[in-house]
Amino acid sequence: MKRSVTHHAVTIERRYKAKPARVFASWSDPKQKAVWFHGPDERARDTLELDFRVSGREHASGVAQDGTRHTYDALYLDIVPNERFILTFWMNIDGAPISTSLQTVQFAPDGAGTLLTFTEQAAFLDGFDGPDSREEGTRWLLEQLAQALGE
Amino acid sequence: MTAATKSSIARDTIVLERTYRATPDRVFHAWADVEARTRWSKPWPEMDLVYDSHDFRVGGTDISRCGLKGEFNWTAEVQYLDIVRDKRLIFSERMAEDGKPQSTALVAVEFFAKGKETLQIVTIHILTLDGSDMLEGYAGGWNPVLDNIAAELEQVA
Repeated sequence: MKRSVTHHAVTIERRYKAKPARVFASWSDPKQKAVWFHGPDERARDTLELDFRVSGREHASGVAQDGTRHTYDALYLDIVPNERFILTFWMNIDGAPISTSLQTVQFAPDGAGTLLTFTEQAAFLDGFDGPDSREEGTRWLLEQLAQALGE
Repeated sequence: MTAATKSSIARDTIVLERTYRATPDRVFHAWADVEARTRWSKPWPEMDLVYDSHDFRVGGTDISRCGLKGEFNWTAEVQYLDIVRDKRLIFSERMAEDGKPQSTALVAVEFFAKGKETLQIVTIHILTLDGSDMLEGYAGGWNPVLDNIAAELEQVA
């Protein structure tokens, strides 16, 4: 296999009508997060496992329409309730590592709503995934979150 | 959002290159072997460093402590995310001083064979927390550490 590492950092801002505490809970509460945090074209999905505390872990997996199994694992590194959290996550497709990332999500009051700032510093591995498709996927997830909030 | 919010984060990416007079398998071993790593991980000779645990495999974690004059007030927690023998390793790292989080980082280390030598590229995505001066601390600490690896490889050649 031709090995490669592609580094990329992206920041995405997104505004929500809900207050920071409510938007934060959409990420910290396993039941709320499971509603919107999943792949775009899955035909099967496992239950989201989320232990939202520093040193806690998270695991999500699903089977895409093409039959490949996608897994996401995370380790929480820093949490300031209702303000921010930092995690590292790594993703596999059929057991092959496709990326490792450091992710920050910050929540700031924005009028009556929330300015969410999402940052991912990523190392994409061996050409399986790249900055453009990852950013597209992240924006899709942030839209899923808006719908889960009823926006 | 202003920079003066109660919780603040600064970001940077640092790329550090070294060419070592050793083949990739020997350089990789210097990272994988906890005894070697304990020797070369101290940025400054007067610093003390101990590994409380070491588990060099994907999903494994390391915990080490370091400080001056035996105080061991800094703690580093490493989680290994990807390991390809003799080619690369990627890990996350969280550093705390006296229990207070200072920084989190994603560190990717790649090894490229150049004849009998190895080009090592270390890419560090770093986040520093709440006014910590670790952005400077990271580059200032990693540069002597990477020089220590050269000395380590010459000692065991």
